[in-house]
Amino acid sequence: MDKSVIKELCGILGKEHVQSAPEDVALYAYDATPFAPVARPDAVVFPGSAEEVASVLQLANRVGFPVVPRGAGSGLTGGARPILGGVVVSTQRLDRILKIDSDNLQIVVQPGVVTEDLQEKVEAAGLFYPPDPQSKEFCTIGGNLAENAGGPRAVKYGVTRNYVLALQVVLPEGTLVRLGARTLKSVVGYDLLSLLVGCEGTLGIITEATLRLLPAPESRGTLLVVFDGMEAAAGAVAATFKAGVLPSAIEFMDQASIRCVEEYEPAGLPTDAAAVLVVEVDGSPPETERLAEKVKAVMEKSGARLIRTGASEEEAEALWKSRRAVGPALARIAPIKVNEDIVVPLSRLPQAVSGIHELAKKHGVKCACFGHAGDGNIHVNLLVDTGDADALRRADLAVDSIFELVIELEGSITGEHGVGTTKQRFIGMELKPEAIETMVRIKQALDPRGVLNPGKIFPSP
Amino acid sequence: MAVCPVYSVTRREGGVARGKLMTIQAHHQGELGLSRRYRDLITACLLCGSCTQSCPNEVDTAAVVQVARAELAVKKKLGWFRRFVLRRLLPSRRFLPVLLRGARWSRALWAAKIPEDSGLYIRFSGKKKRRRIPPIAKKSFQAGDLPRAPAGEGMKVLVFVGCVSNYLRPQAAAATVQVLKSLGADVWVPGDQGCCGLPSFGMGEVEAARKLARRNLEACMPVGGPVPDAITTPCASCAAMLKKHLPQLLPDDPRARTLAEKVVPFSRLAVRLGGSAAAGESAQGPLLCYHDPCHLSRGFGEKDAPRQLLTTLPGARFVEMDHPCKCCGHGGNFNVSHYDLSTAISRQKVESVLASAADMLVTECSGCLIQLAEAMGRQRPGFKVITTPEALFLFKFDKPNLPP
Ligand SMILES: Cc1cc2nc3c(=O)[nH]c(=O)nc-3n(C[C@H](O)[C@H](O)[C@H](O)COP(=O)(O)OP(=O)(O)OC[C@H]3O[C@@H](n4cnc5c(N)ncnc54)[C@H](O)[C@@H]3O)c2cc1C
Repeated sequence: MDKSVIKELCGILGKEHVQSAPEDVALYAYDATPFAPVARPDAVVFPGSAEEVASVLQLANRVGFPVVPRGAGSGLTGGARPILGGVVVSTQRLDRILKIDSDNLQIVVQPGVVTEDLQEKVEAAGLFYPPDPQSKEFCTIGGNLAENAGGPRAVKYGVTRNYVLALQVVLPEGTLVRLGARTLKSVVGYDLLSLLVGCEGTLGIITEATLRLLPAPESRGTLLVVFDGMEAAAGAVAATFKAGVLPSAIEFMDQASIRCVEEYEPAGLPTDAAAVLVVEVDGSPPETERLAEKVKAVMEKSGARLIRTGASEEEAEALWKSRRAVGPALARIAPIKVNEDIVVPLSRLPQAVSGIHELAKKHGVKCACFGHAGDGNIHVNLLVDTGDADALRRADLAVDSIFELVIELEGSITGEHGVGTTKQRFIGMELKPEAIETMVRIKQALDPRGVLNPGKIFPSP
Repeated sequence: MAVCPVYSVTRREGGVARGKLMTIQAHHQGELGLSRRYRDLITACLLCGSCTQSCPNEVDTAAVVQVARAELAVKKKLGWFRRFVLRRLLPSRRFLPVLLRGARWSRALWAAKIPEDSGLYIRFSGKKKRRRIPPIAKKSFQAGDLPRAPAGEGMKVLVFVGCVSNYLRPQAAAATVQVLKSLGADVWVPGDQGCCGLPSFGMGEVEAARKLARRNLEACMPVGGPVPDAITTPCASCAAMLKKHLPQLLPDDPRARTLAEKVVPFSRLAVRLGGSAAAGESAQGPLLCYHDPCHLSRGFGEKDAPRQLLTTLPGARFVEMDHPCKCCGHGGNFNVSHYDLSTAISRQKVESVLASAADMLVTECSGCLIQLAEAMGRQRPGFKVITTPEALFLFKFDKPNLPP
């Protein structure tokens, strides 16, 4: 990149907020995506206002360089990696909570706010922001919006998109717009808000968000349900809804996941079980109790071997902690893991989990499945040793066939992590060419010079 | 990321473990040289171990950073002043006392009675920033009349003093000796010991650290001398240095391993000697809160012992502050090389202390002590920060004054 461009960036943002030394740009050459090769930007900028973001994009359109938005870099599909160089726009300085409006149950935040910080602030005011990606301790709201992140509570409360009322966005050409309204409903014009949510930073840079809050549930109850068969556990999920219960979370762990997590963060899970479900219900205390009883009845009918109701809050917290530890615990036994987050309709879950295990076995790779079964979302982890090139190749083949199975079951190849660069080659499996073509036309209409996060989502023609 | 104290202030990738590792890796792949910027990034780490603790793979980033610093040190990229302090000043037996005496004078003249925001204070505290230098004791602890060999009865405990307790806070060392004696131990303080060597080691000055390790080994474990049952110190950082790094520095001397095996943090030893045997919870006296030093909570995995001691003091009450295990931001040399960052991190700690409504702050590491005394002093002049042995001395054995 030309020195004069760096100079212009310094003029826009101030020298201290532009970094271009090799040591500094090396720090923004990666995100949390496994295997991804480093991709160095030419510069990293830390804007302090939406106007500065807009000026950077205007410059990019004038001179012609890629611009890549970045939150905490916790994404798992390479979205924040500057694969074509250019300028990384970090939202880390835009990290203020601007307003909590308890009267209208809303919060106005800048994109760099860390999700858990937001939740803590909101809870202190007796309110509730449900989306809870398991990376919430460090990921940002901007990243959550761009990936339309979900979490265990999506079963009952939905994903990030369900909590967005309005956004301030800098569009690819550098125009600053406000989308949505501060009301719970609004149908004026196209729903561009929804277009921006989940755009993986390719259609605009979000600079402010007005999010919807709920009153905090009065109480929560947690159940641990143990099964001797994996399919029985998966089948119990749909049975729960059929019985008229809407839990706030149903998480699934197979045997490999249980064993692994028990070694790392013991919570007394039975290591001989084929699978467990962790079910959470919420509401007023009598309601919680009633729902827990109902869940228990369904689970018994579905063939559960053992049901433990999380008697105390600590016990429940220990259970959730061990659930959150599964991912990291798996990383301990295999230095490299292929992590896919497929999702299928609820009734197809039993077929999905048993099918995935079979396919993994067929290709000779170790496999552990866990995840947000309540919404049909399963994290498929293929465990491969570093340096074992043959195993890696077999894992790749396994992924191909697992995705084929998922599509056959009318599912989707990614429930929350997005496409980024790592799933580009698979989107044709799920979307018809016409659909992809329409999306590409939208991208071209908004970003005619192709400066914003180029090379993502769509495979290059 | 969620746990790194540096990142919590800078919010830049360079602060966090992943960034450090990537930087060092890029250097090893020949993509980054040993530039000034590289040095800045590598020194901007507290070595607090928070990342390792929360990492499922227990990647020891602090150790990797130390190795990287050793490379910088060997290739002379440290800056002459720090090199001088670390290589010459700290290892020297004679120079440090002389220098500090000099400093005491200049401090007495320039800084003691001058308010913090005065131009004089700022100028003469040696930095453009407003530093509060902790007062230097009139008489170092080691200059006093001390038991130099075991007397013969009770558990044989050797006290390692450390620089801060020797020159700046002799009360801490005195309380250590007194409390252990009161608990029935047979205590002695070898006269020949010096700096534990951690400042040098942390900066990668391995040879200087080795020199100090050798000296301390000879002082504490002379051939044919008495072998202690336990070696303790009022400072968790010194303890960690003796336990973990001293044997690494002297791998060929079996005495080094024996010494390391004997090291027990003060509060753990005090509990073992019955120091928490209980008066029960007190309803009176000042309200204490406790800051977990990184070297104690993560280094030794010890969080319970100090609490057992502090919650059973007849003369004081105890309250837990928020995030007691979060690093105070001192990080040894970090406080010198990245003063602003260090101060910003300590400010978060001050907020926790103030929110807890405690009257006094207790900790068990001299680095934390200096850092927190400075930080608290800025917000609440006169707020007392003391060490665990001092707390026991004052509130358990009810001794109103420490010997000077
Ligand atoms: C341990 C772990 C657990 C995880 N668990 C979950 C989970 O349960 N559910 C889930 O959904 N995800 C999960 N993730 C994935 C990831 O954390 C989420 O995708 C998260 O939303 C990314 O946020 P971030 O701030 O790190 O964004 P980044 O990784 O920095 O960026 C992600 C994408 O968003 C774009 N972007 C960032 N900020 C903006 C902005 N202001 N405007 C426009 N585009 C922007 C980037 O260009 C990039 O394409 C997990 C990740 C890890 C490492």
